[in-house]
Amino acid sequence: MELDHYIQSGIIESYVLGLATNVEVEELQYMRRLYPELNSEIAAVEKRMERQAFAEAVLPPERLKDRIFQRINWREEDYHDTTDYRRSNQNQQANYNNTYINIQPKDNQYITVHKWWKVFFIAVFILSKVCLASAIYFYLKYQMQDKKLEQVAPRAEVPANSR
Amino acid sequence: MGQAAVHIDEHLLIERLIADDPGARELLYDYYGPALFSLILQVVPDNKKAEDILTTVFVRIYSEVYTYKQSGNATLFGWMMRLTREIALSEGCHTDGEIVGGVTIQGQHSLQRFTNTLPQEKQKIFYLCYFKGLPKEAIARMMGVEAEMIAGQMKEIMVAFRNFLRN
Repeated sequence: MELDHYIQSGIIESYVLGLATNVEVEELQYMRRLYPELNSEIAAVEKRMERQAFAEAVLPPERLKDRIFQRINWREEDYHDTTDYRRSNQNQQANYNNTYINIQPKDNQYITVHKWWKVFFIAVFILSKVCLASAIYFYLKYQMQDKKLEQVAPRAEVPANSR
Repeated sequence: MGQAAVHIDEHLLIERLIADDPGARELLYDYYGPALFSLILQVVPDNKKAEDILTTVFVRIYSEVYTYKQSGNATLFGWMMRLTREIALSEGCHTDGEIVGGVTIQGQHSLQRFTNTLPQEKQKIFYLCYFKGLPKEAIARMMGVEAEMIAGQMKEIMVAFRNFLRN
């Protein structure tokens, strides 16, 4: 039978492996329309290869799963952005090729400032401590001076009727 | 890893994947990821590169799953397998043109084992065709023979592969 001969030629295996030429693929599609039973033969070959691949499966590292899902999420966010802003196709392609690391927290509870603010705040803090210490020091010094002065020359009593 | 015991309703899974269902995506990765990873490792033996390729493969699968029905494949795995090899060939850098003598296929995967069962010349043709993705005309030029001769040899190889798969 012609169909049997066709199947035995290994054309389906060649097609499933991705090795068939364009002419062979077209021929196969034509034969599929002519003999729909070819579809079950294609499925059988694919199932055989699936069984082989499952028997030899290699577990990918756990971190890969997160990486894939992160990528697909960013891609979708990016896709929504591009449709929202109606960016050009070229732009979309460029965005797809980039890897984004999203460090922006989701809620608006945080602000981002320049790193020099850290130095500034430390300087202000130290300066305020210096001011506090000197204020205490000068206050105590003033008190001591005051006492000394009182011992040397007691403050004159201001008469009530000095006018 | 042994054969997966869980049966997956392919039709339902595809419908859910088209609807961007995250659960379906995870199921697809957990179920088919290891099998596809082993296919990539056959073409690109470098683990690091193979991981990058698997990432691209799944991102492409999720975003192009709606094209599966028009692809001409009869099963979801068949479609994913072809896409995987296509991406592995285009992303895994190759050193084409360096294979002058015989080829040595390492590894114990079925396709590698199959290649080793072939006679020397056919081994080389199948290696260049499947593992390097070269068209028959390019292989003919490399080996200094007519393209028809390569096409004829490939037909014989595919008959041998059919018998190999059935056993």
